[in-house]
Amino acid sequence: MTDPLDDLVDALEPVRPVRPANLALRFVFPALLLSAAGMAILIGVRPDMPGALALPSFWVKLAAMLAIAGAGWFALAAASRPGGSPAPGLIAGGVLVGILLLAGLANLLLAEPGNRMDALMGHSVQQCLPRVILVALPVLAGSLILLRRMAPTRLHLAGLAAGLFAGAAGAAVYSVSCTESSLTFLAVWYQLAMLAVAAIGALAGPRLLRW
Amino acid sequence: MSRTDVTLAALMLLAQSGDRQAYRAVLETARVRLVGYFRRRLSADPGSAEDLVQDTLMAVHEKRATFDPSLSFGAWLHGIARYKLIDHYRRHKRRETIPLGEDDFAADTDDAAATLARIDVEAMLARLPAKQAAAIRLIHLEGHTAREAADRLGANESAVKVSAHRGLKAAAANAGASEGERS
Repeated sequence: MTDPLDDLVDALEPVRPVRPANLALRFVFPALLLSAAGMAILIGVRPDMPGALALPSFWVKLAAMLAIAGAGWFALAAASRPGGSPAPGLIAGGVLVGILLLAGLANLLLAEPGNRMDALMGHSVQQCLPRVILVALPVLAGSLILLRRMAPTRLHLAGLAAGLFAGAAGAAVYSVSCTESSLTFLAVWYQLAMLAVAAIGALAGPRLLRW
Repeated sequence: MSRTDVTLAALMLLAQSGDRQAYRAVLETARVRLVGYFRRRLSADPGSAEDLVQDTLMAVHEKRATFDPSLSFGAWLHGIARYKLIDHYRRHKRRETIPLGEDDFAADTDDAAATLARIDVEAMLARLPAKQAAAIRLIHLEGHTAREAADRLGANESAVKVSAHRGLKAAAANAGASEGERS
């Protein structure tokens, strides 16, 4: 009778340790470039472009979404390995989302009553939501491929982390073509689109990440 | 991180670079831990516990490149074991039949021992197709590895594994020994 352990030892080949960051260069970064290029070609950057670089609202949108993407990446990398916990990254992401919501609410309350509707609804809600989601989807696909190359063991949370990361990264890319300047708009609609992508990731996780 | 864990992490690094001695030490330690882990949680179902130990060792093998020495080996192993346990619970709650996958083969030797003890071996083999009988004889009675058996039979390795696996299932069914079927 053979010991199955012998078979595994016999089958040992040297492997190069895989790291999420290295896989991101191969799968997530190209997806991000594809999203950015697709958006630049199909939608275009905002028409007031070089001048918009001087607007605080441009940088606030970009920085807020990049910060959440960073937390999402942290959760994604941790979730990609057995024994790693996505909780710290997800909690950090949740805290950032909450802070932004409070800032958006404060902005709404401080606005002149006559301007509140504009601050909340902006002029491009119908474009913002589907476009953020669309721009995020390639990044989500790349992130899920990365996870499949690794060994996630909490599939819902791994999918959620991938979705949060991709949603925020997609929103950061879209912010370059969006002329909205209201903090409330950012807090509500950007984040709603981002959380929709996170939900897609959480639902897809258990189906697509099993191994 | 305990001292044992540091040692295991170092051995695992060696295993990643292809050191078989280190790898054997890692797997043997892992097996002891896994046997304890699954027996505690599946005390009513020792057969499944045994299968899960093998499944988890197989997963350790397949995913060995994802181990990172900055994490504890114990946490990494526990993560995989927990994943396999949850997978087991889910499959059994749904009462799905488990498709015949590569993973099933590792546990065959244990099923084989139980089945072979119960029935008259030669009579059993005589009732099976010649190919399956030959594969079982080489692997389970004479103790050859699947690869050696494949060489002798002039067939490929996975075909021989499948033959032996199907043969044992058929034999178990023939003998009316329903325990031979993995639920």
